[in-house]
Amino acid sequence: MGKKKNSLLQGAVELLILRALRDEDRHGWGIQQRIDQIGSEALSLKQGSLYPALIRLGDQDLIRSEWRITENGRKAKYYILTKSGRKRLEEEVEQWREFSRAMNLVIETA
Amino acid sequence: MKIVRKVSNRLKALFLNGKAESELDDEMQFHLEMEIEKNLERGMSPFEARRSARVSFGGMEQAKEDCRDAWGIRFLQDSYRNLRFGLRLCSRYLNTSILAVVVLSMGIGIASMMYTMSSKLLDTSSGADLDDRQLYIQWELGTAQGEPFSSHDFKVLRSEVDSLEDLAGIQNSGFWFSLPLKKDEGKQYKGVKVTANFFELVNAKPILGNSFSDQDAQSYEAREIVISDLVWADFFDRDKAVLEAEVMLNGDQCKIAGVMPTGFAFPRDQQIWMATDWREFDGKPRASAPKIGVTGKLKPGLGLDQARAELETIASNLAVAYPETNEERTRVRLTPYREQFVDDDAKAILYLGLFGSLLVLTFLSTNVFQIIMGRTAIRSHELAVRRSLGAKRSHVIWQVVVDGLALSGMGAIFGIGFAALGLRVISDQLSVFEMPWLHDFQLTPGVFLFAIGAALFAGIGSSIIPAWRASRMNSFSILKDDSRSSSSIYIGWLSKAMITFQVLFSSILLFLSVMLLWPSLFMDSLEMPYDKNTVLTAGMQLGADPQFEEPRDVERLYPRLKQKLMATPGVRAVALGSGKFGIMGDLRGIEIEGEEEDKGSSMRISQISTATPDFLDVYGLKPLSGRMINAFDSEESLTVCVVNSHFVDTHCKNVDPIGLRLKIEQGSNGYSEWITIVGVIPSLMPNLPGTKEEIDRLFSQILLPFAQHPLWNPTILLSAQNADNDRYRLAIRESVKELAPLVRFQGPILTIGEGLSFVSRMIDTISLGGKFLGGAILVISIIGLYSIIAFTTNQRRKEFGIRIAVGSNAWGVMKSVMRPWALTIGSGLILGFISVLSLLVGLHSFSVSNGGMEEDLRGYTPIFLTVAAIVGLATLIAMIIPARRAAKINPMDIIRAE
Repeated sequence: MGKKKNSLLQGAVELLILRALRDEDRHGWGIQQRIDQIGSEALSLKQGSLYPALIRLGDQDLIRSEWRITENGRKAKYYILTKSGRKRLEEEVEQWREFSRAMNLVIETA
Repeated sequence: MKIVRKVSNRLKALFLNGKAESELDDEMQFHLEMEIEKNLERGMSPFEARRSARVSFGGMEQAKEDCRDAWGIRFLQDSYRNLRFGLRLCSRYLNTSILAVVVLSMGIGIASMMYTMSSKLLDTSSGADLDDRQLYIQWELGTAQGEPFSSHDFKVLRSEVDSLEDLAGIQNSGFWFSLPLKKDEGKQYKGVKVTANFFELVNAKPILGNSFSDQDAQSYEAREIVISDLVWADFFDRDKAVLEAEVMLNGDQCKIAGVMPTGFAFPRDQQIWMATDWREFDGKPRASAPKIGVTGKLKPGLGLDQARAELETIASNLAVAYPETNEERTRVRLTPYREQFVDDDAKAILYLGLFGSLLVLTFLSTNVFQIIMGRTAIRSHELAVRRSLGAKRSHVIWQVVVDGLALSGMGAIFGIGFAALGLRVISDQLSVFEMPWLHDFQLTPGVFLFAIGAALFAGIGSSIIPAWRASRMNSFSILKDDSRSSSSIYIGWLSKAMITFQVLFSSILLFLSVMLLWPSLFMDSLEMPYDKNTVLTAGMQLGADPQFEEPRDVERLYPRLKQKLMATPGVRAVALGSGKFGIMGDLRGIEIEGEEEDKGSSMRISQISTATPDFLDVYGLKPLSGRMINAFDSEESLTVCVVNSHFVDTHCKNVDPIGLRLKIEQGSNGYSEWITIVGVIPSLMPNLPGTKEEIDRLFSQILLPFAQHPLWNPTILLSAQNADNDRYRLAIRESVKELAPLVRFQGPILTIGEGLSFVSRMIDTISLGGKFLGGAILVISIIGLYSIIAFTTNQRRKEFGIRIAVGSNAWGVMKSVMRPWALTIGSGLILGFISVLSLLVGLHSFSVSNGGMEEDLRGYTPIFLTVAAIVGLATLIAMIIPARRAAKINPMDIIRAE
């Protein structure tokens, strides 16, 4: 069951990160907290797996990063959603909804 | 934009790797601390908060490895890091590194040399710019080789063909090149007579002066010639005033019209080009016309079939008009010029060369494999640490492979230097032949690419198995007990198989290299039954002179020529003969009166030569029985011949040959009339190795009277005390020029000794290659065997220390080192023997020799024994050093280390 969950989330982790950055710039830990906050236990993932995903999103120019000082005076790397990242998020969300609707329909009527 | 960002990120990660790593550390540390703080706020104890944060985060090192992968420079970074590590490893294990680099550089060097020579020998463009439309055209007679056109047929084809842009004729010729005031200080060059359109048709232009015009081909007074860069350098020091300089070519005055660029030697290895239209043969019998190579260029848009159809129509008309010469010549063979001289045999040579290179590379990879296996075993602790820290198997594999590539990279650098040096030695050796296609081996960009490919092949090939095994090691057991686990990577069937393979290949390659030495030893021991430096030979082409209507006309020339030559001080005898050096004849079928029909066809083959009555005087010999050809053997008298002692021993074992009659095969016209044997002469052939029966069969010879079988191309034979003195050559040239000014010589005028020495030099070069290859293989074998035996012996230090401590003597220890390998090496030698035997049996099936296989194989016994002794000695050297070292182990050192 655990393995299945992980493989399901692997494809969605980048979407979750983009979603977490939609309203606010966040550092890695902040993104993690936001995903935990808006999601549930079912969506929780190993925190370490967040960082390779952040690098991949940066490579695709969907997010960018900069070092800033946090509220409690610490230095942290913040991630910011780019214009193309925002556009990609909208597309992905729309696709996800359609897929989800279709899946629900199949599951409920089959 | 995305690509720009991606590339910029990669570059940043690559070049600012330290910064990126430190930022990644900071970022993850920040994450962890924030999580700990959150846990503390939730009321956890500091220990529990820290533990829980670490569990939620997952493996820190694993996450970092994943980030490095995501940067996409992981491969480059790892390679760079591994390369640096590999180089450090080289300095740490200097001995094995030097051994590996020596082995690799020799192997890559030898393979690159083999590749360079194969490619050069198969390059038939000789500096000309040929395209696929350039064709070589011959008669198609259904045989493996096509037949060149006669100059008569060429002229008809050239005037009538429409599908080709033009046709050029090419006739090989030897030229004695000299300056007008220094006629005796000339030099012999290979040259070619060509039609005036030759250079235009092969897209070549002189770097100085002009190529030919149609007037050049028609003018036989002070002819214009084009010379190669080599001749320009030899005689004029590349002085530009060479143009219009008057020079002597075969004693005729010529002018230099142009100089070709360096490397141009088209069609093969020619240095002098003379324009001609073969008009001197016009109106002469068609059979006397010279055979010439023909090349043409297909008109754009036309195919080979169209050109062939047109040429065959012209050929059919010729067959109707001249049935006596052209009846069977109605089909033509068209071959793209670039493929003409790269036939199946040549391709086989190329593939053989490449296969040989691959064999050498595989052989050296086996050696380097042993070395890398040993190094990997030593590094097993370090690799286990990496694995336990989260490195993937692929990373460990790549780390070991990069070690192999670092070694092979260094091997490639030295190997190219080694190849350059070797090629220079070979080029110098072969330069005496003045055939640029045979020497002048250069390191082209293709060779560098080959060397890089060879280095990759050897590097990856030799390290992939050690890498694979290293990646499958049990890290836990290695970290627990390093020495036992590290040896487990190494000792086993694989290493033994590799040793067997290595001894097997050493035996095969050494056998081949000793075989290359054999011809040289044979040439050194070659003896003729007369003094080979007392006979000078000069091949003539009578057809070039219009005074000779038919070959028989030479009888008018010969008495006067002999008289003139005999007048030269020192000349003892003069005769006319046929074939190479006047002694080697055409091999033809014969039929002997009364002989049974069911004898093997090879029994009825003999060399056929033609000679004048004074032939034996040249060699200072007398007939053994009967009589020699004499002046009464004329066209009108009984057709007779003499045979040599080999003929008698082959065909007339139990009968007196005198009075026997025989017939000689005459091509498609069946057999000649009966010819009566009137005498037996001694053998003029060298003492080749082989059974008497084989030698007799090979050198069986029938000598026909010149008066009854005149030739267009007889050979002058002149006997003198020091026949190699230039004054005799000059005497022949001057006499022939005076009596028949237009007669040409075929090739250089040489004594039989000089001719053999020419062959001998060629063979010596091959022999040098054999020594070189054999030496290299021997060194590589000793290094490879030594490296594995030394390593495994070192792994058993503890065991030997204990044995010595409990009373074992030095000899006992040495025996226990050598015994396990003796069986492996013995198996390799037996397999090598079987392989070589199979190779020889395979070759025997292609041989024309009728000798028994057992006899042939027995002849190889000395080579078998030599190779077995060399390989045995090499393995003994490889074993004895580690064995002695093991015998000298101090048990106290071992106990202390424990």
